[in-house]
Amino acid sequence: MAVAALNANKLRAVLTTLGVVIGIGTVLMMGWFLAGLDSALEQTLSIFGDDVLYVAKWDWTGENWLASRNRADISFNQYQQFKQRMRTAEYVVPTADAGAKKVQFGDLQMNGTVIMGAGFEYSHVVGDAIARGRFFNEIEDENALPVAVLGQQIEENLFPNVDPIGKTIRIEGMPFLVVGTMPKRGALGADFLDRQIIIPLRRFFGLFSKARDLTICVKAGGADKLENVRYEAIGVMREVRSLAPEQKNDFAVNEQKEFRQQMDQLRVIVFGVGIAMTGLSFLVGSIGIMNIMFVSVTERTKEIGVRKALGATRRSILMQFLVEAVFLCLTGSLIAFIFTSIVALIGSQVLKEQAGMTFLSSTLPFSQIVVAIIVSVIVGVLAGIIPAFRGARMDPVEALRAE
Amino acid sequence: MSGSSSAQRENAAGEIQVIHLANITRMYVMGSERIYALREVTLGIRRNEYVAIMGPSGSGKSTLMNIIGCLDTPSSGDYYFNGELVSTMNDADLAAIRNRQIGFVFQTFNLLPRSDALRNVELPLVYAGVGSSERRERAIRALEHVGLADRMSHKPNELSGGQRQRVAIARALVTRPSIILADEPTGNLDTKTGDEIMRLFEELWRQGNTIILVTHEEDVARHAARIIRVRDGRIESDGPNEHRLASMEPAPAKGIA
Ligand SMILES: Nc1ncnc2c1ncn2[C@@H]1O[C@H](COP(=O)(O)OP(=O)(O)OP(=O)(O)O)[C@@H](O)[C@H]1O
Ligand SMILES: [Mg+2]
Repeated sequence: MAVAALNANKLRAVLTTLGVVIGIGTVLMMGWFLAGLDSALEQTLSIFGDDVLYVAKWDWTGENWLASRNRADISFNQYQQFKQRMRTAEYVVPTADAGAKKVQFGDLQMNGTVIMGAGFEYSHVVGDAIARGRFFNEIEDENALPVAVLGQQIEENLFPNVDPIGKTIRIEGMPFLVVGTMPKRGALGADFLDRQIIIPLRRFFGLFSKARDLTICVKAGGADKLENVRYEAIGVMREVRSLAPEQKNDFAVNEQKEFRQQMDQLRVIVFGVGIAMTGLSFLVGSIGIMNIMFVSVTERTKEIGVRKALGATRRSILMQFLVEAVFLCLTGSLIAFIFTSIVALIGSQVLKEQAGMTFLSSTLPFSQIVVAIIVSVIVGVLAGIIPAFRGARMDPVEALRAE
Repeated sequence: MSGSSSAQRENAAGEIQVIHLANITRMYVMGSERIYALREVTLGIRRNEYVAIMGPSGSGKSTLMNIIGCLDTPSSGDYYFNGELVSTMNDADLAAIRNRQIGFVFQTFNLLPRSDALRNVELPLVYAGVGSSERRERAIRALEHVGLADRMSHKPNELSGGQRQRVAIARALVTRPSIILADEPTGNLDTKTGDEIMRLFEELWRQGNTIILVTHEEDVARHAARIIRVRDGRIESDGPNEHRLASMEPAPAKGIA
């Protein structure tokens, strides 16, 4: 009978700890994922620059999408007028994109690349532009020479064992000389960056006659100057686009903040799901712990009486059971930690290979471990406090009489 | 009331009574009924007395013992411990008295079943805040004193009844309390083992401890120097023991733990 009771208690202890394991596990997983998201966001933001405005027909937030569609393209001529009139900006650089193009080198071929035409100063606008070789220069730009800078994935696919610098690739059948390669830049929300090839804008126009809509990159030269530059850019662009005072802007001035907003939405979803799961499992876990502590206090009524007769204060009895509850929770969180570490180790690898999610770390962030310990101590104390109080407040004579 | 009780707190020789109960009543309310476990009990015990409390079952002996041991609270009346009114003390004060001034010995031993003898004896020292190495040392000495040096790592269920009670006595002695309270300490033991335990109490008394013992066996009570008889919650008689056993007189003077 005693053995059966013990086993029943063991089962209950395991089930109880499971609630805590899931709760702490969720906290850890959430922290792991959000930390990955954060690092990805930082990476993306550093590429787009925190002092760069992107003047375009399209609004990156996705708002005004219908209106954006009907707006006139930003032409090269408008860009030239814009650049000429801008006073406060450090760089004003035009770019244009054409997607899903075929690229070849020798026998190897790659589809789905993104060709970007850009001014030669583009390398000053974005962070981390060149890994090896160089960006194309002013002369190559002015003369629309067929030179190209390759994204990391293109280099990987077309030049598995060869140094691409100085080789000739074909874009839509036309030969281009590779002058530089870009480092791995693809991050969350911007994974196309690694499938990008940058060529001089004038050359781009020759190749893709229909892609005439420009995005003008405006580098402020410091995040503190951004608002002034934005103010000027809007004014200048309105002039260039010949807008009457009562007309709304028919262009958007985008910046990396829009990425941050999109990322924040994702973060809210992850956080919301995580909190709901965590809350639920902690509820289950703490009810379980409370239950097991009530059982423990009842089973040890006699022991409480003896301890009081020997000089235990209410406080020391309270502490004894609180420590026990916290210990249960910490055991649970240790199991959760081991389990989540394994998930992070395997998960980061699998998600990288299967879903291209390169931003997840293979280890848990240290701050999350600290949080998990603090949370489990709090849950233990909260779940244990009522049973512990019951034990502490027992009448010693009655407790001693218990069997 | 306070005038008479303060007079009673001192005896004729002017000694302060370590335990003084004045008109102590302990009442339980069971539904509409009132059960009186003690009625208006007045009692004084001096240092180094050896008192046996006797009486039929249900007469209130254990209740009296629990009140003396600061485990139970009287419904009315004043209890002075070492001249201090117990009803004004808080939980920590009471715990400190139980820890340092009083050693309890129970009929059913009340050892913690999952802890070995040494850990059981160390327990009061834990609550006294004694550091672990000194705790161990003192617990070992207390166990040696009761003749259990070779049973220290045994769990209670690996010990005989007499051995268990000796562990309990070592536990009661380890904080060097001046008062030993024993509620039927030989009740669960055979006569021979019971005699061994009584010899231990005798020795403790000779070393200066105050011993208060509950029993309903005349043979056991005969060891005491004073016998208090209780009936229906009242003291029926209280006086020196005329039949005190003389065989114990030459006790070995060994230092306690
Ligand atoms: N918790 C309680 N509730 C109600 N009545 C109680 C309670 N505790 C004790 N009593 C009553 O008080 C009276 C005295 O009890 P007590 O335990 O002091 O007797 P005792 O002299 O120790 O008896 P025994 O020799 O059987 O141990 C008894 O009538 C008992 O029924
Ligand atoms: Mg009794």
